[in-house]
Amino acid sequence: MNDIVRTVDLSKRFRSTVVLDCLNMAVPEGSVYGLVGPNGAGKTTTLQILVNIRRPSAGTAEIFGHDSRQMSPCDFAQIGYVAENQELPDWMTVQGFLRYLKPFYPTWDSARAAELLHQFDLPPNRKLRHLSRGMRMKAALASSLAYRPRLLVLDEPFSGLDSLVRDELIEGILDGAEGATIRISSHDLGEIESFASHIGYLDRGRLQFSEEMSSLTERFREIEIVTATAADIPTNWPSSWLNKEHSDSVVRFIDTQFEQERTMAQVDRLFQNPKKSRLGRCLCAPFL
Amino acid sequence: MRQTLHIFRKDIRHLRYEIAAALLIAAAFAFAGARRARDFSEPGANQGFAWGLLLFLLPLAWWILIARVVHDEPLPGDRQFWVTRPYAWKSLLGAKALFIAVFVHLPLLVADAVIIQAYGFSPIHQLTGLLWTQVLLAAAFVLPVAALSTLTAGLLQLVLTSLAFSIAVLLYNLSAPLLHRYAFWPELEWMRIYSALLLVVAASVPIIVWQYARRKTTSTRTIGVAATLLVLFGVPALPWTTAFAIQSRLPSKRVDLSSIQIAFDSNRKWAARALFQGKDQVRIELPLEITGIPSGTEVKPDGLTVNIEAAGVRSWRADRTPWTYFENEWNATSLDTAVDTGWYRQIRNEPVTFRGSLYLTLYGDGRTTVIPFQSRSVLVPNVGLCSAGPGPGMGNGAVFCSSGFRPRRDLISFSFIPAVQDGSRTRTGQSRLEFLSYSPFPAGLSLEPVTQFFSFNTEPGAFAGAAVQTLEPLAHIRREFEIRDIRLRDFEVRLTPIH
Repeated sequence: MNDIVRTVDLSKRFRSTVVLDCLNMAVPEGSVYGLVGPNGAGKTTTLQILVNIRRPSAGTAEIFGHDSRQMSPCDFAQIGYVAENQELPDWMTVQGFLRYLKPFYPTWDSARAAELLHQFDLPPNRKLRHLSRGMRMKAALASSLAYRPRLLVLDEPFSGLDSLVRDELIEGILDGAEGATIRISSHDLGEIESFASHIGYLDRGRLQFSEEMSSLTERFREIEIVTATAADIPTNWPSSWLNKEHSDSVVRFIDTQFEQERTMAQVDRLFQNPKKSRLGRCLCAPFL
Repeated sequence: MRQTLHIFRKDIRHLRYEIAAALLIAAAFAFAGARRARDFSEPGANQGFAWGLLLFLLPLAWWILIARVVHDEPLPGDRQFWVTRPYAWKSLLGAKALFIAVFVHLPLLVADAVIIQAYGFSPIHQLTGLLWTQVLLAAAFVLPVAALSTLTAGLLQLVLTSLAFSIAVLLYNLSAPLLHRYAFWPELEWMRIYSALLLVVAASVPIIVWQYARRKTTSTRTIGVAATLLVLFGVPALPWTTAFAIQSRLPSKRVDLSSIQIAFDSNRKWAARALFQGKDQVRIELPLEITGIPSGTEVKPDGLTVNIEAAGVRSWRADRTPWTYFENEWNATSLDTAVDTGWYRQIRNEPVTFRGSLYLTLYGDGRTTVIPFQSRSVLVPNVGLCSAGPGPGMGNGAVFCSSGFRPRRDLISFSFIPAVQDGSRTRTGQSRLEFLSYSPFPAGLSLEPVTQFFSFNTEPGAFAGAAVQTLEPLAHIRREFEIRDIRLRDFEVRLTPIH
């Protein structure tokens, strides 16, 4: 698979604050890449650099093999970008907005645009300023799907939306962006884990990992141990065990490098005679 | 081009009310301006409140229009939808330029043409003035407002920035005279204006282009602030002598100036004086004689610099605003400067040398045009259209002239021709217009396409007509002079109060 997005040692600093620190990542074509991380991790900045809203302080970001700083209108004609708090031309109606954008895109599909309006239940003659937050996101999404972009970049698209609208949007994205590469950022993994094929985890400007969802779910396990007596809390925890908790005879943690034999051997070594161990498949949002 | 027109059409749709308001004000401006032409023979009657209001409203409407059209795709910030859409920056900039050309420049061009036509000028003959007005509109108004708009994200931010800018200019203007930094240069003021405009254009164009091409708001804002400081502090620092030197290098008519000399005017020795003014100052006046003036020409001094030197004493230099160091009345020119009393006391008994430069403009190619009373307007070359008549409420004769665009460069003199000419009645009511501009450009920095001026005669009698004499500036020259062995004590004047 070709990489449609690639960053090499991408860094961004605002005066003395380092927002991105040597970010190296690749997004394969056709994937749904979820960039997750806590607030302030640098997700939005990363996406803004990709679509040339911001310029990197160092390193490069490439889309379709072109440096993001040199992106041409032709490149933008293949990219859909939707972000929370994006300022739309509020004075336009939904229909007027789509009609205005049409000549910018050689691949604009009017039938598809009409279909999206219908699918998202958007009132065509209502001005954008009179739409609710969810409706505005839908309008922005419809305007980014009508030309079948090769790459769809979504920055916190579900932030502040109720679950019903979120589900509608996800459905719209999955239906509308068929064949497209989707790059989506979220601070809540739970929002995107159901449809992301790849996950990158960004924390304080550093990419902690970036891999396929399937290998990630194999690697991350929640482990709960019940001991016969009140557990002696060990001090020499393996570094790959995170979110460690305990209550009397119950100890719970997440192993981020799970391999059954090795993990169980470690459990046996640290806990004397565990009565029972429970291994749960987990790519849990609370952890991330 | 297709994208440019597409964005242009969108802007028209969105800003239709602002466009309508601006066009309405431009139409009112044309109408009122044309009407002023009708009231032309009654100076004062046409300086109405409505005209003044229009001169305020028209730039205000343009200011709003330019800001709104630029802000329709705001450049600073990272949330605007259009930055991630396939906009070509040249198309976007082209659409905004087209909008401003159609709804700001074109209406003014039409309004100006209507107004000058109403005054009796042919718009074709005034084409250079019409077009140069457009250039000045772009340089002095459109470009800076557009540049400021590209640096701000919305109208509120623009208003606040403009207010801050206006307050800075106001504070500067209030403090500049106290600092002796700014003095009005009558004929050469145009050079300071054009220096400022050049800076404004030199900053505005890169700001606009760079903002549209790269959206580097921090860098472009720095350029904006630097240009503002340069205009406020750099332009007033331009020395008058440099301005005159530039002026003298501009193309002028070939005249042999080698014979012109400056010397002490011994025939007017009586006019020399060292006059005590209070305790601190002594005003020194020295009559100067300008000789060797080519026949058929006149000279008008524009400025003077001088060093007053005496043995063993530091010299006194007067050159900061050279045009303030001379007095000129008709053909009599005097050096006129004030020195410290302390310094004066050191040299009053010594022979001193006045060494300096006199800056002169030579006028010639005189033309006289006679305007019969109560006839139609007559075209006076280098002036405009003039008519003469009894002049209601202003004596027995009046000449009214209207000038299209260009500020006056020629020396203009008026006189009135008696109805019956005999030995006892010659031309009367001679007057001359001051406040010229040496600007070589075909229009000035004013929204009014026509300037009006008049002269009237209160002497009794009937007049057959008026004569308008013009003298064209031919060359600007600087002549050195040296006047030796003047003992200022010989010319001392101490005024005492009369009880």
